[in-house]
Amino acid sequence: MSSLVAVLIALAGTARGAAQATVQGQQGLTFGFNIPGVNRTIAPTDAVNAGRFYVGHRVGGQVRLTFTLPSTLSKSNGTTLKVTYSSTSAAIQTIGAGSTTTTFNPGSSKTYSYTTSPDIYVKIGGTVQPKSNQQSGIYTGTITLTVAVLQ
Amino acid sequence: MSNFHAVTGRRLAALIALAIVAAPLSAQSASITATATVFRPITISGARNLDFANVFPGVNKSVAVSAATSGRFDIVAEASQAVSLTFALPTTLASGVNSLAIGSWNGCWNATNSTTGCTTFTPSASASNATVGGATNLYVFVGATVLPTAAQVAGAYTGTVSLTVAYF
Amino acid sequence: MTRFPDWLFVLLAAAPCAASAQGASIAPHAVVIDDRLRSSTVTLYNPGAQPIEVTVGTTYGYPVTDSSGQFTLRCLDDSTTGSASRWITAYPRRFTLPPLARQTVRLLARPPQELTNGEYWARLAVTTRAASAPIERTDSAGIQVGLALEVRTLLPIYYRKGPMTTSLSFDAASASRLEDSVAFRLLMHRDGNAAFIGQVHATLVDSAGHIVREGRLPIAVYQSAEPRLQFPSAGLGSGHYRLRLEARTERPDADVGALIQAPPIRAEFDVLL
Repeated sequence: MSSLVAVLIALAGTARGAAQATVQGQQGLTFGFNIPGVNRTIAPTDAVNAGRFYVGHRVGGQVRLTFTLPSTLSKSNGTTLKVTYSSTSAAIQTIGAGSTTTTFNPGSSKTYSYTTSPDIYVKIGGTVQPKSNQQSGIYTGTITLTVAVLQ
Repeated sequence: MSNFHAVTGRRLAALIALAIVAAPLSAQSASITATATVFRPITISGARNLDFANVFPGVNKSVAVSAATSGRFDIVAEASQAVSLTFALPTTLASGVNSLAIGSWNGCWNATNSTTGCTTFTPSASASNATVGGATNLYVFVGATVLPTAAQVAGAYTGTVSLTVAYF
Repeated sequence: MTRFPDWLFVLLAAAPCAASAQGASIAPHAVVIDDRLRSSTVTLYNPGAQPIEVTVGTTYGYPVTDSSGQFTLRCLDDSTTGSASRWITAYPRRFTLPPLARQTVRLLARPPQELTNGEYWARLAVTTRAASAPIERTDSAGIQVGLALEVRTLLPIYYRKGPMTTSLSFDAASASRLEDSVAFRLLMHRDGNAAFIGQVHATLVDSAGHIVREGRLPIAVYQSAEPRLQFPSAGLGSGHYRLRLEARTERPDADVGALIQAPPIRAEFDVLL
């Protein structure tokens, strides 16, 4: 029994090692210049302004993607700027031949199965909503993508 | 006992296998920064065209700055911001090959959308300084006089009043 | 001479005049281009209900003060030393902006290779006009007259290469009494290699040491300037006063990144009113 458990644990350990994913934050989400009272939406397919993560894993593997999203961006003096996300504010783009893009709601976890390519980009957009009396300045926030390997 | 061990062992193996499949084996995260820059814009609008409506041959017609048909530019900028105003003004209006002379220009600016108490100036290519009011608005009114000749040919005479606003 | 039937007057008076607000919101107010990046962007937004035609270009000029002490823009040839306008290009240069639409204009710089360290200036010229005619022709016999409005906005572009410094010197202050006010001319010149953009806080102090007048004057000193500062004269008796000046590189309207920072500059002058 003890040898069986040891073998299983060893197998599990091997599986964990093989199941590591690589996650890199590659490009920030940039809303650019904004005018008070005028919303601005960045689509996840915007190559220049959308935020971008690289998530590498093995073909046949599965990961769960979970965003931690700020609801406001902040200035150094504490002033905030509202930011919202829609059901299509995030996207998964496969890298390589026959690249495809699928949008999803960044407010919920998304499970992705690697079928053709071991490399994907996970992209994030959103909408900033400056109030008509929004203070001038630079507003920032942090977007975190957590990738859990499922198999 | 050995059976118990075998069953327990199989259950344990199944549990471990299940754990491998269903639970995240590892979780990693990475972060990026979201950035937005907000600027109070400068907005300059041609809010109302200068409209003489119908004029009559040989009869000069003036539109005062206080008239409902005077031209009006609206400027929205930061409070107390100094700007210079210069105009490019036509001397004649055109309708095809025909022209109609403009005799004079007058203007005034105010922090409110009213000519009452406004600061008068003569629109020209020379700069007139103005200051955007505390409410961040500046209204510039323009009037003029047209001089149709007695033989003025019928037509729609048009031209363009161009306001250049330099921001310091 | 053409004769007009009475009914035509009524018709003409009722004729609609195409006169809707047209213009663009432009941000930021000042464009800074770093030599290491060589590009920047400006955002245009049409807040109106009508499409507007937009033309974007660059020109050269910088603020100076005229004989009356007013800031005005001195427009110079592109080839003048210090001009960046001939090697900064805006894209796109001409477009129609639909109602409530926005357009990003990119400014790309291709400076000469031998460009020395310093600040180079240009002006972004954004011209907007309504895409529709100022009047609609409603008859073939009358004379209708209307003028369309066109607006041209000139915003500063600063191209910066290498370390930037700026400062200011107050060289002199003179006073004069006008009808209902007192005017001061403040002669100042810029030091360092970048324009001094900021404001002057001025206080007028009487012989007893009391502040009797106070005001702020936005300034943009690219080389030298002699702006006029004016206070109401009511209640200001004749005599000696002290004019205290403090210039700071601060402006409520300016993006902090656009201003080269400098320590406050203070000066005092005796003035006789």
